[in-house]
Amino acid sequence: MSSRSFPPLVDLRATGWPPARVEIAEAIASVNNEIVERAAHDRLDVGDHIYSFAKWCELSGGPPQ
Amino acid sequence: MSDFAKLDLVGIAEGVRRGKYGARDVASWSLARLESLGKKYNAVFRIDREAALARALELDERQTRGEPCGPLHGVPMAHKDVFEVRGRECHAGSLILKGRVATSTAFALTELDRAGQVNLGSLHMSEFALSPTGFNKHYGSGRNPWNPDYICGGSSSGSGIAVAARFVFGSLGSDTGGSIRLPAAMCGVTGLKATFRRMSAEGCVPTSFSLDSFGPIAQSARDCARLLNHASHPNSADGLCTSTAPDDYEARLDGKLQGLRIGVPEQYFRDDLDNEVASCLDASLDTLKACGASIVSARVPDMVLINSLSQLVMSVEAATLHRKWIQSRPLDYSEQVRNRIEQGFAYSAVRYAEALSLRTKILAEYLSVAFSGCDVLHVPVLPITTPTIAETTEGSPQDILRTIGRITHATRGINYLGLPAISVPAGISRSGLPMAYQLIGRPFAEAILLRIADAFQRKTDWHCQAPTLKL
Repeated sequence: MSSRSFPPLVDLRATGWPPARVEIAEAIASVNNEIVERAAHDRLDVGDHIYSFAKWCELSGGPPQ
Repeated sequence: MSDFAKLDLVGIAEGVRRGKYGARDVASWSLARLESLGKKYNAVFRIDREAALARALELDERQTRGEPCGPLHGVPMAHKDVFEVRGRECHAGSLILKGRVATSTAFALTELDRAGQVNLGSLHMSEFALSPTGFNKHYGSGRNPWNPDYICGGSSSGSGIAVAARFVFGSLGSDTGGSIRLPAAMCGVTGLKATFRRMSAEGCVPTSFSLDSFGPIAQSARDCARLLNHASHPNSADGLCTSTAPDDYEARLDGKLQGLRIGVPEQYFRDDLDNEVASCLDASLDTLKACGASIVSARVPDMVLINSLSQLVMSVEAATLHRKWIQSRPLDYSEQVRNRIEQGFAYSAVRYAEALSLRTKILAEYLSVAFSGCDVLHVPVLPITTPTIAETTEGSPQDILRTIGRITHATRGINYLGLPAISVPAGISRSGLPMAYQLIGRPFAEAILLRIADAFQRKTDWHCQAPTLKL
């Protein structure tokens, strides 16, 4: 697995941004990319998706106080 | 009566209701402080003197006619500059939105108007709510009222300063990674980040629409409870806002903690704690135990993963909101804020969808692990004592980044989980700056958080201590 297998949302270099700025953004993002990629690989199942948010909302109800 | 600085929000409201002084008397006093001291501490962006005095006069006349007073009748307030007020400029601490005049008023502020507030103006904040220190390159950094050489915390910096320095008696802020809890802790006041969706986001400038939460900053938990009672009404026009009516938070404050279990996480939150902060946390636990609560140890799931998820979601959503301006007006952003937004362009669409898709599972796991043996978690707000402005702006970029990273160590992941959390004043450091602890609750457990904080404040007076203003 490698986060580099996915294309970036916006190719910063192609838009003419200074290489130093691109490097900063990519360095910070690469750490998070790898952590989230691994978690998604290990934990996401077919029933887990953004729209299971409704279930999240149910969970949010919590116990009576 | 002229020394209103000795009163809190509830005290001011009761005094006006009983006719001890008028809404106009208090508004005039607050306006004078905000106009002189508020500017020195960089707490305020704009003041609506004429509108505020007219509103106060109207409230006094209503009272004279025998009309009922709302629970916030005549209380002077001002709010973070993300809350829009019709006809008033709202730029969220940015150059990008400078000159933008709101065409309607934020839902939460309309509810506070209905309860009787006198809204004096809009308060300082970090640029687009993207700094935890109160740093703002365009309008200057907020100054801590306990010592102006120290940071005041952000991004709801003006809210923390104005309440702590007794310029106003309550303020609403927003919190995407600690922006209510951090300024509350650093300025020595109480700050509640409500559950995601508890308060409507209608009429608020967003930072990250999946993480933005809102809540009150005031002197005490009781003040916050009264504010939340009104600011958290359901808004049927806001598709994300909960449809559940708020609890009567103030009525739940009974000073009793018997039967409540306060969990102290064994991992992560107490890593790398300053000794002074550790002592402050331990002392607060002793007090809570004396109030009747049980103190138990707790486990928390992997916070490193949760922090990564939070950072990814925040930066992609910020990049989505700012893309057109980042491309057309990049120099109108500060370097620090641009760096945080630009990260968002380095994630793929799939990665962002994964981060949001994991949210249900991660929250369920967090609830079942962290809250299996306790009702709330007790953790630091920030693991270090408040740094100076110089420590967060001068020196090597790596050192500055490290300091800023430590500041949000205990706050930023909570927004991905959507949980409510409160910052409670609990001590003064050797350098004379306030210290605090944080309580984190299950979703919609604001009533429990406020009850515990209120019980603590009945036994301590940290929240009553006001800074001696030096500027």
